[in-house]
Amino acid sequence: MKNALTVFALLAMNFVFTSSSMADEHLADRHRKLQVKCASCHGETKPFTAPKMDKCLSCHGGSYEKLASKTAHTHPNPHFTHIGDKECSSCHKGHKESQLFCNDCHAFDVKVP
Amino acid sequence: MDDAFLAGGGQLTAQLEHSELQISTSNEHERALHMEQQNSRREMIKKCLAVAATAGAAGTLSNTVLSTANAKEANTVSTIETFDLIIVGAGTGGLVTAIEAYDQGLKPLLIEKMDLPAGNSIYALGGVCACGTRFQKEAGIDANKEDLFTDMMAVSAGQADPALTRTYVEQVGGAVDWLQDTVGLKFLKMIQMPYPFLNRLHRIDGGGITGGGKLIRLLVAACKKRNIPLHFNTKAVELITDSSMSVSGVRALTDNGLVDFKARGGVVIASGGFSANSEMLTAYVGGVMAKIPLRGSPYVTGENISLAKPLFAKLVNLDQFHCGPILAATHVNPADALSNGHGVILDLRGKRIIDESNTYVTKARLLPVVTPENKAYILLDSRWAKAEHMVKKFTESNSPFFQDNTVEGLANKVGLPVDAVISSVNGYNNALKDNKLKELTPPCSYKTPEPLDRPPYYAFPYEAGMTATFGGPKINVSAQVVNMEDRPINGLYAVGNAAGGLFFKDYIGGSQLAGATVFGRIAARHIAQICKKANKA
Ligand SMILES: Cc1cc2nc3c(=O)[nH]c(=O)nc-3n(C[C@H](O)[C@H](O)[C@H](O)COP(=O)(O)OP(=O)(O)OC[C@H]3O[C@@H](n4cnc5c(N)ncnc54)[C@H](O)[C@@H]3O)c2cc1C
Ligand code: HEC
Ligand code: HEC
Ligand code: HEC
Ligand code: HEC
Repeated sequence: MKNALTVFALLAMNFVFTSSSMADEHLADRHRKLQVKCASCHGETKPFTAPKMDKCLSCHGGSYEKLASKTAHTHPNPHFTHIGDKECSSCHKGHKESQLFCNDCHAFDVKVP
Repeated sequence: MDDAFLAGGGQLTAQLEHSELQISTSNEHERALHMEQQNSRREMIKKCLAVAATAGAAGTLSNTVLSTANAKEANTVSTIETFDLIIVGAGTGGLVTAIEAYDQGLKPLLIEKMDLPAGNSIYALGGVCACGTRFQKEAGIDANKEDLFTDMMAVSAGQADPALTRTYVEQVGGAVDWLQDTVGLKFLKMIQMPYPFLNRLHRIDGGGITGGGKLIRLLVAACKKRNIPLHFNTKAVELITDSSMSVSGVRALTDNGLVDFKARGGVVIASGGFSANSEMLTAYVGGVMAKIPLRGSPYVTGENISLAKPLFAKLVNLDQFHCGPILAATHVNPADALSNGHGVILDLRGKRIIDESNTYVTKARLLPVVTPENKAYILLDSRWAKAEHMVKKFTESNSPFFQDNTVEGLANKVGLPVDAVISSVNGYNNALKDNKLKELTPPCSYKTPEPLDRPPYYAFPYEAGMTATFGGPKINVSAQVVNMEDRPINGLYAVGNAAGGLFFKDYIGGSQLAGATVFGRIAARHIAQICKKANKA
């Protein structure tokens, strides 16, 4: 009975996948190595809020549709979803581990860079 | 998506931040200042137009003239140019209303409290229930209005409002054609389905996402094409009324503080139901059902009721909701495993608990009542032709299920009491042999029962989940909200799950999205008539 019940409760935890392989280097660090400055992502030199998607898109294909075609092989395609065109930073974190916010509800085995 | 569109008035708001116009929040004050406001507003609008033009924003937001003071800091409410109608909530109902209103020549404003359409629509699988559509005619399908009317009344146990139901069946054919022609919706090939779907379920082609998610994308695109102002992060918090208690606008919370949006023709509440409002669920639904996991949006929180109640709207069917099967941990939908006419349902003690011949909706609905955990397994064998399909679905979504060549092995894997499971399965098989399935406790009334004897055996877990609530301010056939005396409240409309009256007990799959579409269009057209009359006068 214990096992039969835990299936319902612990499942989500078993499927929390992280991008731990890149644990000590976050997205902003990797961009800095490519000479991408704070302001390129944030739109300001002394940022205090998460970047807006138009900043990211200005370097990454220009539209969600373009991005989606790049990741069409991934299931589910993180850039074409039933949730709609969410802010990039809801998945891609700049200074900490990224996370697939979809897994609030699902348990997809997809790593977010 | 283009930024100006997404940000709605945000851009313009920023441009106008330093305007001096400030209007007091207090009602007393408001009346006293009325004349003054009229004048300063006229001035304001002129100013705004000028600023908007210089900012180059006039193109994208041609229908919006947003005037706002630095409201947050000054502790005042900004006022806004008048629209023909203001729509609260960018779900199916709200977006449809906006598009139809625009096409009727009106000037709509759509406000949405989240950063995207975030209601139940994006979770909907995307069935649309209709009769008399071109799609059906082209496929040679004859689904008639009388049958749909009868079936809709039947699934509501006769409690649906017959006039609203009649309106639905009369107009849904045209509404679905409109979704195809005007919005660009596509459907998958129609298939014959069990009662009450039959040959009426138009399955939206989602192209990889839920049909509802696809529908919302197309509706948003249609709004964008028309430059309809769609303000995100803008939450309606109060209806504004005039001296005769007609609704004349909406007060909304924006990133820049409170803003009053004025409407000439009406306000349409399209904010969905209250499936994610625990206070309302506890109060109106109550008991174990108020605690079941949510299938859809965490953001449909009962503003249909909190906005309309102060105007003495007649609130109906508040205890009514739809419940469906789900596995909350992964949101996989196990409905197919529950509606295949085969298998036994076992609780965590390994005992049968429900007559398995019930519909999947009933099997979900009864679960929190018959088990304290609201959790059970459907145990099947390989006589079920679609077992592999279900295995694939569960595997792809990393949802747990179990498979074994013996019932004993299966029970062991799941962690259920082995003896109890074996005795339940044997009990079922023996009763079937003796033609005594109906004498079991609980009875099993499958029409064409088959034994559970063909390995491998499968166990799929499920829980009951809250889909959507049916209660809210009662509407009439023009989508106007009525008061306790059944008279329309001037200027107030409700559509989609925000409106009460169309659904009770259960709904025919696909009639919620379709209902939101039918009554959204009706509300827009009614407001168009009101505005036309006002213009003549
Ligand atoms: C898992 C699931 C599957 C379903 N499948 C189907 C199906 O196949 N067929 C079918 O017909 N129905 C289905 N339904 C039901 C269907 O999704 C809903 O009936 C329908 O989406 C309701 O649309 P709506 O426009 O009324 O509200 P919603 O889509 O819920 O939209 C309401 C919007 O209003 C916004 N809002 C709320 N309050 C405010 C406020 N104060 N100010 C501004 N904005 C506000 C919300 O953020 C939201 O965006 C399903 C539901 C679920 C959960
Ligand atoms: C790849 C683009 C990128 C670059 C380059 C970048 N950031 Fe960020 N930053 C993000 C994202 C995405 C977030 C939001 C998620 C998070 O907190 O990591 C964020 C968040 C922040 C926040 C926190 C905002 C909040 O929501 O609390 C601060 C502060 C910040 N960044 C500062 C900086 C500074 C300073 C630099 C330059 C040294 C910089 N960032 C470079 C992407 C970037
Ligand atoms: C100034 C241009 C620029 C901006 C702005 C920018 N990027 Fe990048 N990004 C790059 C370049 C260059 C690369 C490396 C080449 C590539 O993979 O496309 C990259 C790589 C990436 C990668 C994949 C490789 C990795 O290191 O993980 C992701 C994911 C990514 N960016 C996300 C973002 C997000 C999210 C934002 C906004 C917060 C953003 N980028 C803003 C230029 C930019
Ligand atoms: C729902 C979560 C989510 C959101 C939101 C999201 N991404 Fe991603 N992104 C991912 C995942 C997961 C991957 C890895 C996909 C893969 O491995 O194929 C990815 C990969 C990428 C990459 C690398 C693509 C490549 O060529 O491999 C870029 C660049 C990127 N994202 C940019 C963005 C930008 C820009 C936005 C916002 C406009 C955004 N993402 C929004 C989840 C997300
Ligand atoms: C609030 C909960 C929630 C969130 C967050 C969420 N989903 Fe879903 N998802 C659902 C529900 C509910 C369904 C429909 C399940 C059903 O009844 O079949 C669904 C269905 C799906 C499906 C199956 C679609 C189909 O047509 O069968 C996929 C794939 C999916 N979601 C991907 C995602 C992705 C990717 C994200 C993140 C961008 C996400 N979901 C975020 C709740 C959620």
